[in-house]
Amino acid sequence: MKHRFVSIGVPLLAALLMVWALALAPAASAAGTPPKPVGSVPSSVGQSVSWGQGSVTVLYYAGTSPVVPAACELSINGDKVPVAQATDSSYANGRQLQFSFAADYQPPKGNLKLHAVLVTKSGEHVTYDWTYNNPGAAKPELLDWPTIRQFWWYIAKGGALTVELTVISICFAVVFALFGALGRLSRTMSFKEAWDKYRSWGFMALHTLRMIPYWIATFYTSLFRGTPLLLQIFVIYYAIPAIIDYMHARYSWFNIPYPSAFVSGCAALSLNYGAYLTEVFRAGIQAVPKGQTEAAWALGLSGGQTQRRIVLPQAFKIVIPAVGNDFIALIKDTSLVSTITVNELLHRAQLVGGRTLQFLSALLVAAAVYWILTIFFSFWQARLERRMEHDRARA
Amino acid sequence: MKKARWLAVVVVGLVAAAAVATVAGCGSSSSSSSSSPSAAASLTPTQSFTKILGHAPTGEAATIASRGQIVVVDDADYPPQSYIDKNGNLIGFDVDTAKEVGVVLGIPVKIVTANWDSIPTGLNVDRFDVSIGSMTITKDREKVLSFSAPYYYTQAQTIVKQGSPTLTSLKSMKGKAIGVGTQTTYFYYLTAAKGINVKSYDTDAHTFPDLKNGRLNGVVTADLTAAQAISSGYPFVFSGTAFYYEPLAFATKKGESDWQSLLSYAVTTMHSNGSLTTMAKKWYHGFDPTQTPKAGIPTYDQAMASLGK
Repeated sequence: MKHRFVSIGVPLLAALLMVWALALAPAASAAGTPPKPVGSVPSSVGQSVSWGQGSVTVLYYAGTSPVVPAACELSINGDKVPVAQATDSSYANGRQLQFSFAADYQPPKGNLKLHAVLVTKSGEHVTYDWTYNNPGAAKPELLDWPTIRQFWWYIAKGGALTVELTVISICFAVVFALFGALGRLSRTMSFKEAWDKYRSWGFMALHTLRMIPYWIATFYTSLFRGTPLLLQIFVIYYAIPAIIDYMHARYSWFNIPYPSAFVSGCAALSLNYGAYLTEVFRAGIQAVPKGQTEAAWALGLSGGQTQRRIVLPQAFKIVIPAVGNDFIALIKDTSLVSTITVNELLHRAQLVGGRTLQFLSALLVAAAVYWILTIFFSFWQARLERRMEHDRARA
Repeated sequence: MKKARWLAVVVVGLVAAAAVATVAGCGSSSSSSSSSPSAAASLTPTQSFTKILGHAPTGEAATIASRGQIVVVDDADYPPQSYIDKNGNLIGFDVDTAKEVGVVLGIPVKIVTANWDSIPTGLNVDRFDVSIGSMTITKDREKVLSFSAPYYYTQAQTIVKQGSPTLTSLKSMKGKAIGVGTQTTYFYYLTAAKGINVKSYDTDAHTFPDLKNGRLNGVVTADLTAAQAISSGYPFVFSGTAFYYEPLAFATKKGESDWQSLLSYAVTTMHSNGSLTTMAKKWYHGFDPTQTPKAGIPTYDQAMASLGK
């Protein structure tokens, strides 16, 4: 009885073991998973902006066995595509297989049925099919009109900020320049001349005090004309918060908000242009004939009255062309403020360039807006100058 | 007499115009996108921070909470991580991530853009609270900045123009003009490997026109950025294997422990609730670069060490 049980039981057990082994065997011998395609370029879905028509990429998750690029094939509408080179590389947490077309191959227009075969080292064939509506290769054009049509208004809107920056900066620059020029002209004589003339220590002390506006103005023009505008913008934007922090750390009552990028930009532009205009104003004031001052004195006007009523009005007329010139230059120099996050004209053009990769089109739109702005302001400058001529003739 | 008054009017007018324009200018200069949190809307930022931290926020975290807004900085020209859409709004994976951080922390987010090379300075002088802009954690940067845990990973990939000779190693790049974004890890890596004619640009995207023109023999950039260039029509191919992979993280200035733990909390939460993966799949053709890469490729620091740096 016992013997019979063993003679049945052992073969049964052996058979069960074999079934179990057979069930496991395929998994063991096929060595894991095949590659799994998940997407492609070009594709009707996803982030593709346009298709360069020179290559097709299949995105896939790697299987156990690596893909052999040279063995892989691509066909469009059933025709095998001549592939100059297939490149397999890692991309994100998957891989991509890029088929570069032979130089003379041009994919057909219209609805394309794309079919890719990925061949692995272990001989698996994985196919991936998708469709793409090919608008056809764009004719080689210098300017990308769709980009211009789509973005010109966005870029042009930056012009408003450019004008704002320019007008505010020139206003402050003129004020700085006026005080700067008066400071620069306040020096009547050098120390040596003063000593030779009066030989009095009391007068020398007074003279030193009187020199202070001159020194300040000289230091100001020297500093702001002697360093690049871009550097001034960076220093004002990045250093002032550090200074405020330092002051706040030392004196807790010192708690003022950081200047915004816009304010920092305005400050840098007006200080820089103020320094240049200081010299312009100084030259303008000096260009008023000496006889005018002497005549004013002869009439009994005081020094201040002479400056306010005789010299400055005439100097103002002389400097109008130079100020207009600097105004035009300032319109263009506001573009430097794009480096400190101010979203003005050039900044917007660069953003559009980065997005559409059509730098020429985007930058040309910005150039056109700058040009229109300068033409507009030159026109008004010319009007003002003519008006001044008229005024002089009347006088 | 008449002329003097006229001059006075001009001067007063200029000053008044300047004053008015400044006020107007300040009002209109905030031109960035902000998003308001949908979750935790009932809590104020301070309450929300306190809940996450377990104590009242201090330091920069307190400043941010009382301001009621996080100022996030991004490169404006780094598709598909951060770039503008048709209407000029900033979009991309980094932008989505920044907005999600706002949702997790329960505070609105304001995104500003800056030149890539000015971001570390801007963070250190409190111009920006945090860079959610694909910054690689490196030993050198850790000397001046603090990093959160990585939120996604990229690889340093070489691309060349279709049909031009492939560049597969540093040796093959000797004497060749290679374009990189300035102050990127690619810039540091290629400069450290002697003999390469490294040309640096404002940002990675600006290298592409020159690669197409033939002024550059190759460009080294993130695989994701390179793939975006190809899918938007540039005739480039990936060339050779990646040099190294880069763990990318949020960067802040050093020594703000509360603010850093809030950001670490945000990264951990976004990893575990799957929102990072969802956002990444949207931008990267269904791939998920937020997963830790498989072993085999060195990290940036290891690659630099192998150059003796």
